[in-house]
Amino acid sequence: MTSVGGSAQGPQTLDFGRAFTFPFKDPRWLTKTLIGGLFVLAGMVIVGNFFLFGYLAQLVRNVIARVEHPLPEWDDLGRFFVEGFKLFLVMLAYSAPILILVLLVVIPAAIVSESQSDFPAPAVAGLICLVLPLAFVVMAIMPAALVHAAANENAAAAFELAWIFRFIKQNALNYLLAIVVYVVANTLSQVGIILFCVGIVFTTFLSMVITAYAFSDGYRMATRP
Amino acid sequence: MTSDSRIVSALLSIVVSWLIFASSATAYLISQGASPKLALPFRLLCHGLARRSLRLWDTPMPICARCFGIYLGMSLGILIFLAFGLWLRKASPVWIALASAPLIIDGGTQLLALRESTNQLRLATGLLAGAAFILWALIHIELNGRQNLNRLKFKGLTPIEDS
Repeated sequence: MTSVGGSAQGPQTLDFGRAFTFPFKDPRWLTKTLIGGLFVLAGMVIVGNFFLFGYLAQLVRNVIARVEHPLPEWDDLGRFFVEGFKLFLVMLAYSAPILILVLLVVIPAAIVSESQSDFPAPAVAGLICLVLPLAFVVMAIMPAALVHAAANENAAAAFELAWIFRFIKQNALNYLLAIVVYVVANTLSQVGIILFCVGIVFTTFLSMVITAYAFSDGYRMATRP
Repeated sequence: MTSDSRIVSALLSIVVSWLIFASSATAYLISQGASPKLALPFRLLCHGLARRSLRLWDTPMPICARCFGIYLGMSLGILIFLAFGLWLRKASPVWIALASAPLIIDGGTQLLALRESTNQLRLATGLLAGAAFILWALIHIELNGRQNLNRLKFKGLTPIEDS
């Protein structure tokens, strides 16, 4: 198992600027982004996402290995698909408690609302009180779990919860910065809609790789100082 | 043709056909009195301004004429690739640059409020750019797939043979 810790020279902080500029330093960034955008579009069918997740997993490993231009080529789709499918199952497993809770609350609420005119307020309140905090916790843990699984090329690593909690706790600042990178990149990607609408698929792809870079760079600093 | 480009072609055909079908079906349902809120999911992909959209059954489509043209062009590009893929050996980025130029000029000048385009022009420029882009991308994936196959053969591995 990979050990968690900080650098011997003191804690390293995530390079916020580099996370946003690294794709453009790659001489082939345009080609990789154009093809990536196509896979974002293909992601409207669930299967299309498997290629994207596999691609991001390879990006995570390249960042951790300090490859000069970490954006992978779109040349091994079979491998991307297989790994992406495993990561999709991990995401599904992490989301299962939320889905179960929603089903447990929403289905009885829907049955009750059949006999009443309004959707029952207690069910809505219960949904908000139970599901939202749980969803927040799951969403906060999932990136660390996915990066850990991608780094080890082992989907089962995503469920080493003790390791994942220790990693987040000991690298809280970098982890929070990576979440900020995610929020900023995701917000900026919406601008893509003004690039003839279809531009949003390319900006969404860029926001995905920027986010993956931020989380994996934080992981690299913690595990391979 | 490698399995990579065949799988991506199939996936994109499904997505693009679905978008074309769903946008047309939505226009039909709205024309039959369904709630205009049916068009809301399309806002994730397109502004869907009524004056910039084609009209079906006297109802504006939920995606603009340019997006409709792009998706139509993409499906056309996939068909061209499947028919002539083996003859198209060079994926030059100059292709998409040239074919996308009308879309960029038409859309760019409209974005800068220099002029207002027409739906016919939006459709035509989208069609051209969509077809060229998908052709370029699929040829690129095909060539990358072939390189990958050659690498596997060089390593002595035997991949599933492609036609």
